[in-house]
Amino acid sequence: MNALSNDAHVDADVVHRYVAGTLARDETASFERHLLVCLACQQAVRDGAAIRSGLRVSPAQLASRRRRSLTRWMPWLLPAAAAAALVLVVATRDEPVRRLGRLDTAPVFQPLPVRSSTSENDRRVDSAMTAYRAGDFARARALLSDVASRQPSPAIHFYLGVSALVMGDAKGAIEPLRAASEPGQAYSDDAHYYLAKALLRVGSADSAVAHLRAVRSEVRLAVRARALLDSVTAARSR
Amino acid sequence: MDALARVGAADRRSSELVTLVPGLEIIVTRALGPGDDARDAVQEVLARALAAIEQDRPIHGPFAAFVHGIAVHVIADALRARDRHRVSEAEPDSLPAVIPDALERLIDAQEQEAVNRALALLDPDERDLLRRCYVDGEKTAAIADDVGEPASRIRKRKSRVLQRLRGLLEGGRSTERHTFGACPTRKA
Repeated sequence: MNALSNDAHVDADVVHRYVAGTLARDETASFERHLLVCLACQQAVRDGAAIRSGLRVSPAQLASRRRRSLTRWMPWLLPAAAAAALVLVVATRDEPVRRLGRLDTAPVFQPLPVRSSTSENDRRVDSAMTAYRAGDFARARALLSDVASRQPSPAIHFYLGVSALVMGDAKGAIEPLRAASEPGQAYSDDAHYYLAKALLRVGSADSAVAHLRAVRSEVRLAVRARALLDSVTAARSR
Repeated sequence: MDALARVGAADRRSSELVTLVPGLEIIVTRALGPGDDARDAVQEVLARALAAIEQDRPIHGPFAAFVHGIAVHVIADALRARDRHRVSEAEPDSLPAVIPDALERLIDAQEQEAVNRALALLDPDERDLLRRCYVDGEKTAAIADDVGEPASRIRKRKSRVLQRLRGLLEGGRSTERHTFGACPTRKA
C-alpha cells in the first residue's frame, strides 16, 4: 500500500484526484508524463483505485447485504449457487486469455517476398494478395491454400495462417503459421507472434507463451510480443 | 550524430519503451476502460513509437513525453471510432473524458479483498475523508474550507489515515511510512 508515500514528490492531491477523475486536463497530462516513468506513482494509482473501489460500496454494507439475502434464501441458494458457479468457472476460466488471441486487423502485406516459381502460381498469389489487401480473407485463404499445396513457401504459409486467424478460424491458422515459424525463415518472428495469438484463441496458453518468447530479432514485434506476454501473464494470474 | 550513435540511441529508446508499458496500461485503461480496446491501443502506441525510432524521426524533449503524446492521440482516435465521446478537433493534445472506475479492473482480486477488510477497520470519519478524496475527488483545500480547518491539518489527517490503512494491510507489523523508492523527477 503505497497510496501516500508518493506525496514526497507529487502534490498531495494529484493522485487521488487522478484516480477519481477530477484532475484538470493540463494537470492530468503533466501527471501522466511523470506516471509513465515513475513506478511509485503507478503503484499509488493502483492503490488509490483499490481504495476507491472499496469505498464505493463499503465492506460493512456489503457484508450486511450478504447476510440479509443469504439468510432468506439459504435453503435454496446454496445448491443453485454451487451449480451456477461451477458452470461459470468452467465457461469463463480461460476467457481472458482467449480474448488476448483476438485479431481484428491483419498485418500489412509486404509484396516482394510473396512469389512462387511458376507463372500460374504467380497469378494465383497476386490474386490472393489482392483479395487480402481488400479484406476478402476467404478468397485469399482459398487461393493461398491452393498455392501452398503446389509450391509451399514461408510467406504463403504466413499469409494463409493470418487469413484463417483474422476470419476467426484459429485452429486452421495453427498449422500454416507453425510452418512459417521455422527458424531462419523471413517470416519466422511474425509467424511466432501470430501463432501465439492463434494458440491463445484455442486456449493453449503455455504454447503461446513459448512462441511469444521466441520473437527476438525484430524490435517492433518483440515489443508487441513482450506487451502481449505481460497481458497473458496478468490474465492467467487472475 | 554518426550512424553508430544513432543506432545506439535507437536501441536505448526501444529498451526504454518497454519500461513504459505498465504506465501506458494505466493511462489507456483509465481512458478507454479495460478490455480489447485498451490492449489494442497500447499496442498501437508502441507500434507508432517504434516506427518513429526506426525512421530516426527527431524526438524533442523527454522520450516519455513523446510517447505520452502518441497515447493521447491513439486514445482520441479510439474514442472517436467508438463514437462514445466527441473530442474537440481544436484540442488534439487534451485528454478526453475518463472512466476512473476502469482502473479498479487493474487490481488483483485478493489485493482488493485485503484493502476492503482494512477499510472496514477504519473509523467512519477516516473512511469519510478517504471517500471525499478517492471517490468524490475533492481537493484537500476544498475539504478544509468545508469543515473549517486549515488545509495543512486535512493533509496531515489524510496522511495519517493512509498510514493506518497501510499498517492494517501489513497486519500491524509496521506503521512506518513506506519509502518505495524516491522519485527522481519530481519534488514537492
